[in-house]
Amino acid sequence: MIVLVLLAVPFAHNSYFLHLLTLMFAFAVMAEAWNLMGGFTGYPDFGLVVFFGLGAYTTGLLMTKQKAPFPVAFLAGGLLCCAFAILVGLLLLRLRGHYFAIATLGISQAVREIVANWPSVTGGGTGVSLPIPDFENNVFYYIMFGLLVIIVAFTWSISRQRLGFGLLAIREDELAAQVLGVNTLRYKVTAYATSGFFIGLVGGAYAYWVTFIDPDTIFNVGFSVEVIIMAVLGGAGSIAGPLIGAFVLTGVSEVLNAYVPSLHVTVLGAIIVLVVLLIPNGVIEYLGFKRKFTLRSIRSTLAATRI
Amino acid sequence: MTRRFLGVATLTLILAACGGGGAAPSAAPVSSPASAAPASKPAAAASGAASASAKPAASGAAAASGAAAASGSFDGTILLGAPLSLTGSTSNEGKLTKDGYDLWVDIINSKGGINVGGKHYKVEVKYYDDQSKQDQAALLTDKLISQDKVQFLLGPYGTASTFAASAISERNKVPMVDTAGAALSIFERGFKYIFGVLSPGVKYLTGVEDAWLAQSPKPTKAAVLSANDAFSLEVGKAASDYAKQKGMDVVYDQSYPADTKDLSSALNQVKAGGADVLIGSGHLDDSLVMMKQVKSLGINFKGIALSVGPSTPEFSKALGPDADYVMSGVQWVPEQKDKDAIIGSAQDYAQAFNKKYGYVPEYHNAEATAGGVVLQMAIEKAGSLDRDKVRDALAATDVDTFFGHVKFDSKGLNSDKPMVEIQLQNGGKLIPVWPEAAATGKVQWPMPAWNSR
Amino acid sequence: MQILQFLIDGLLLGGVYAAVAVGFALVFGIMNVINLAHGALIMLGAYVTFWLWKLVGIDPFLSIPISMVCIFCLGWLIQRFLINYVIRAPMLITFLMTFGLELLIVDLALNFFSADNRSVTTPLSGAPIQFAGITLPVVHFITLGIALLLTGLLGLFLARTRTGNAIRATSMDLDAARLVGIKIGQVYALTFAIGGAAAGAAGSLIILNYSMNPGGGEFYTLIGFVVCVLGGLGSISGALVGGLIFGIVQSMSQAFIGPAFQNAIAFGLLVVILLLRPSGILGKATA
Repeated sequence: MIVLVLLAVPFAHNSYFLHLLTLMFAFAVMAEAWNLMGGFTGYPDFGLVVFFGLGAYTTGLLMTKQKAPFPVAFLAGGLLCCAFAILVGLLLLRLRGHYFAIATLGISQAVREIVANWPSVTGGGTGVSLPIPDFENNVFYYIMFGLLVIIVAFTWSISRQRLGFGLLAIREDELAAQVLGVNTLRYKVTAYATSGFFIGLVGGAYAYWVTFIDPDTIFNVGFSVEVIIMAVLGGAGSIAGPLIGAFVLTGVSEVLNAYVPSLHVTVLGAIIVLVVLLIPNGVIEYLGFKRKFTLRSIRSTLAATRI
Repeated sequence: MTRRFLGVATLTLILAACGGGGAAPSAAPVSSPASAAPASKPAAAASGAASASAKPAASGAAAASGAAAASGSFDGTILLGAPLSLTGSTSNEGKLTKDGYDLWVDIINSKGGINVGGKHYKVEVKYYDDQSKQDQAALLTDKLISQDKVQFLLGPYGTASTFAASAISERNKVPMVDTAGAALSIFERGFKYIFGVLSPGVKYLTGVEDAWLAQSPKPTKAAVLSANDAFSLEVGKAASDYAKQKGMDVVYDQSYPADTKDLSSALNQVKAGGADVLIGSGHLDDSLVMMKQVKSLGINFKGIALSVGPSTPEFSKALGPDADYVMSGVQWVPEQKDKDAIIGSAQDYAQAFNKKYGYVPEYHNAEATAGGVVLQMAIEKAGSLDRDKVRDALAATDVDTFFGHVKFDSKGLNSDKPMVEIQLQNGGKLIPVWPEAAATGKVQWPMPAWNSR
Repeated sequence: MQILQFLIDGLLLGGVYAAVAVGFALVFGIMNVINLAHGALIMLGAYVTFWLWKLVGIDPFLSIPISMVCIFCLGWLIQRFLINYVIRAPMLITFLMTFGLELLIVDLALNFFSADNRSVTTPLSGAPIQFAGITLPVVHFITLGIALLLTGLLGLFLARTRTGNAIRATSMDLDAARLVGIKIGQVYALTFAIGGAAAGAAGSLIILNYSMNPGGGEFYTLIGFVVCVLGGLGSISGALVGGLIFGIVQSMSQAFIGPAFQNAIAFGLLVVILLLRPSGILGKATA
């Protein structure tokens, strides 16, 4: 039912709204994708922006240099990221926790520098300018929306199957999972490759949407951080948490920008700090009626997490 | 659960829409103040008295069209839009640009507005803050076009934002006058609706090289260091190519990642190569770092040119006397000998600007105002507010302005406008030294060694 | 001879990196908190030095203790009243909180200090020391000395004083520490405060050698994170060694391959080291 409402939005002919929602969906997909690794498997990927950038660049370069049509370039971006994730994953997924986080961060920055310094292939620091799409912005809206639906459905379905349980088991106690016969490496790589695939697709669509990409914006570290924040804010490890986090964070940011333009980031920061204090398990905890937002619940939350 | 979520989401979206779309309340702090001023200015032109908002001692033409303003009535309003970096890393430059736009609005509204086929239209500019982020610039351009329904667009600050915003304006076929994005690449996309009044990046430092080569002893070996972004690379490459063209030996030519703080090793290599001039193409923080490190490493050059930095007050404040002798290219100086019928001369502009804002304008202000002036001229020539007619008029622009000559080539670039090369002299004063027609001082050459200052 | 010059350049750069990483390492190692606001604290320290220099004319080197004290207090407040309330939540939660703090601090700085780039100079900024064909910039050299001094003092503090031991005890075994009567809340507040003081010092050193603007701290948070892991999590000397090595790698790459690739090489090296020796250069071999 909400789905129908959202499907109808483009017909409202409000270009700004469309743009905003498209952006929200894009972030939601990435937050959900990160969730597969960070939330379900317990391996926080701090370098997720590498997939975004690789997807964007693959799509951009195929379209400008090989004159490939968008659908082909778009899928190629996702597949390249998938392959990259598998290769890198086999190397890095042996590391745990912080080390995995930093290694993925390192990879993302290394890739960024390589892309920025290989002008003959990637255009270097000057960036890539994609052709202007000859279709309406509605298409991008539907692409992002479609990706979101797919990834949520995927997450939901695997959470009821072996793969999902396997990932959760890895998160809770990897050694025990191995002992019980879970092929942890295969599951981890699968999660990482899927995550990379979706983020790569978002990157490819994003590139065509904004028609200009350069290494510093598209491989920006802060971007990885933002997506993680959205997932954690909404509730990492749940199915709908990350997308809620994406919507809430993007929406609140827009609203603040409209009402308090010069201090909106300050207010946003303050809100995040408060939310973390009072709702550390993510917004989803309260949305599901599992808890009521009363003084007592706040006190018990603090008691659980404070010194 | 779904219901709760739907509730929260809808609420957020409604708030965003209200905030975003609601023109009056939220936009009040940032939209142009100019709208209030003209209406309350009776008979100003007739008596020739200076009024509250800036009135240059300028052109006689003011009196004629001023008559319409005197009656305080307009036949309509033209709404323009501009996404600007009011917060974020380029917020200072964004503010400078906004001051430039606002002054133009004040001036023309006090002269009867824009003359469209005999009717006089008031001008209003709607601003949004793009937070110095290019994706926001794009989003807000979209908002300005589709929600606020602006007729034309004035450019944001910076190459990246202009690049992103112009993609949106092109798609919607809304003419945009670019006043602060100098990279050639903005104009290489075959767009028809973007016009840039400023000199392109490739011209930033070639003039400095000309100035140097006219000195004696002539420099023979150059070193070029560029930051790895579109604009800086363009400036650096142009400088490097031009140096080679003029017979200099480019002994070092490298780019560095955008957030590099320490260039000691690179500078030591430059020193080892024996360069006698250094060309740095980056941004303010790199410029500061480069200067500090050149001094602390004791490297002496005959001349140093930096693309960005020297023309900002903070540069000489931070470096003190170490900032002297450095050269840079600027788009405009108050001393130059250009003028037009709307603003007057470059000096008139400086006076009017200083009167309104309390500080002497620099090129960021002037280029913004120039953008408005050029747009106005095109609208008046087209005699219509139709976007395509105005676009065509813009493309045919070939006029003198207080900012310099503006003629757009087939890509929309003001390719013939020269830059003015300045040198910091005698305690951080910005002196135009090249070309000779615009110079008020001579090039101080060579730079004295660090230990003899 | 040239190689020696670049090696020295690297050490000098590494000194700054070490100063940045030491504070981060302390907080990360003892409390398992990834402090995303570390860069913001560095930035504030830099501004303390800047304003004292600009408004009162205090020599930047002399203002280092002052900025350390200021950020110490700020750090203490942050830990005591904010982070302590979520410290037992999963790491990503504190991560989120420090993220919010970072946004807040940087934006406030942007509003109050403007986006301008700032720098300071001292009478010592002049001629470098020259010997045997090597150029040694004076300020940078002193910076390295200060970084070594700070690290050394911190190490001594942790190893030899009672409070220092208490801090180390909490990271070894929280419950045992509680049992012997250590007040964890206070210890944590103190730890974060010390990390803040180190950040303040690093900031002052940075604005002496380079420049700073409100957004300039983010870069250093990344450096702190990377250098800590490179050097070995939880190890102060690891932060020092990691910082020096990272600086040397960047410098040598800058000199011989060109500045363009210095980050690619440095990050590539980081990944290689993590794969070969995950616990970092000086870290303990526990995953």
